[in-house]
Amino acid sequence: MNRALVMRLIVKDWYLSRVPLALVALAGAVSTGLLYSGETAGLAGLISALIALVFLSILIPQLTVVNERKQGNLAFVMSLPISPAEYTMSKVLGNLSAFVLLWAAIVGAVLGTIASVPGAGGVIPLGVIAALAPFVSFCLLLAVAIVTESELLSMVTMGITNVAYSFWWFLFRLPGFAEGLKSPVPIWSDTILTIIGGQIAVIVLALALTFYLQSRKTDFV
Amino acid sequence: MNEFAVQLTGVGKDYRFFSLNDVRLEVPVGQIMGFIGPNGAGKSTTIRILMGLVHQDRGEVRVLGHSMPKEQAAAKRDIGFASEDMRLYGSSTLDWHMRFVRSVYPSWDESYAQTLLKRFDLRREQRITGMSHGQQVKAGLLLALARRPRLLILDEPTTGLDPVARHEVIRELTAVMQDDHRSILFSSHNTHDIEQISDQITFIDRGRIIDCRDKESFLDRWRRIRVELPGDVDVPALPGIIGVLQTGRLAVATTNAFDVSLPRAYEAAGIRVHAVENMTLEEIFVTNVHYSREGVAV
Repeated sequence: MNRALVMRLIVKDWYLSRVPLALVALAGAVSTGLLYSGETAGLAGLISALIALVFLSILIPQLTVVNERKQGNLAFVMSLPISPAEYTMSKVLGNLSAFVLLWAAIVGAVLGTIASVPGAGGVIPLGVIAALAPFVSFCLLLAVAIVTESELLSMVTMGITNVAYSFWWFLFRLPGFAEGLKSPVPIWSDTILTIIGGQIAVIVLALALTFYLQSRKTDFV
Repeated sequence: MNEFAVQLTGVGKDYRFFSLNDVRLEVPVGQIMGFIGPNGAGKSTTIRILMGLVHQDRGEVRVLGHSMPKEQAAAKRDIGFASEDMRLYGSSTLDWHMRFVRSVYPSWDESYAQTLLKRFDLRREQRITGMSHGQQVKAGLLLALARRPRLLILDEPTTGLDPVARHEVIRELTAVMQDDHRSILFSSHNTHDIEQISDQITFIDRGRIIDCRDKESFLDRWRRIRVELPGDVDVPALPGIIGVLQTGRLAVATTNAFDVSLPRAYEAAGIRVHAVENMTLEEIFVTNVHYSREGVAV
């Protein structure tokens, strides 16, 4: 593994995506500021933070994988002294690191703000699940984008994951999900933990499948 | 040291509507191989296999002594690649690309890069999106050449260029070959460009190599013989004649194994030889493709 070259490719992707990523970071900061001010603005801040995370989950794979293929840059990258495995590694690590950095900053700020409100601790488990949802979407989209290199399939994946957010209210019908919302402290019920475990499993599976399927791929441009 | 920069043996690749079959191709070190074929003939697929971008279904590929696609990372350290469909990052400047490529290749020659900037009339602070197609192609070539690769693989690099830009590119490629240890595989359907710079020429059509030899052999062996028949008879079949186009008493015989004995044989048969004409590479290519599609062994 040519770690130096993989790192250069990661830095290249960060550099080429720096402006949109900075805008997402700004949106996250503004959202947290609104949330901190509480009341109606607080609700707007919560919603805009979630929107920023959803946007982030789409933005990075779109910019660094789908557009690279669409705009003919992939041949340039693959002409460098790099193997397909190193290319995959650079894309997964580059995307994941950029996403996790901003995701953790926004989620940390939002959950930290919620936790600082007396009596609001019960919302935190729901907040964790809500925060992991864009993470799951991001990993699915990244996997589809890298493996298929197809703009159409990436858009279909985006559509499906975005529609999936609409079915959130079904979770409230699950026993053990909504009961702890009004609790002053977080309650990690079996239902909550099962949902979080399922989300993490999908993330791990999507990333593992990306490496596996890429290792079997024979056409890269 | 391996005497071939590129060696393909029995290489094949199957797609739903296209197959590359039994491709055998050898580019000796220090030579320029012109790779000519019509659109969809398999040039780009062959080149992608050479670069490890597409994995062959069968056959062996060695590039600079490395087995492909397994050792592609090592092979690509010494390959400069440019293709018609390769694009640089539009939002970034040429300078950013030069710094990026320089960081990857220790062999990057900054003074040569400066020379190429001037020769190609490029500005390093210009964004790629602001460049014309010709400038973008030349920028891609600059990035490929300034790393001083042992092998240049160029897939239709002159397509879409104006005559001046094409001339600049061809001149630079010729200059590159002043170093005996460098080799170029140059694919194009523009036979004029290929004829100017190539030492060896390979024709490909419908996924098969249909002819491969050095340029001088092509030009020496192919001739058109214009004859006039004594009466309403057919042109006699002679060895080396691969096709005859006859209109009344006038006929044009095409040979790919010209020898002075051929016109003499016609004259001995009472046929008047009007002219023996050289053929351009384009005519040879078109004729070659035509007859190979008709199943004539050329």
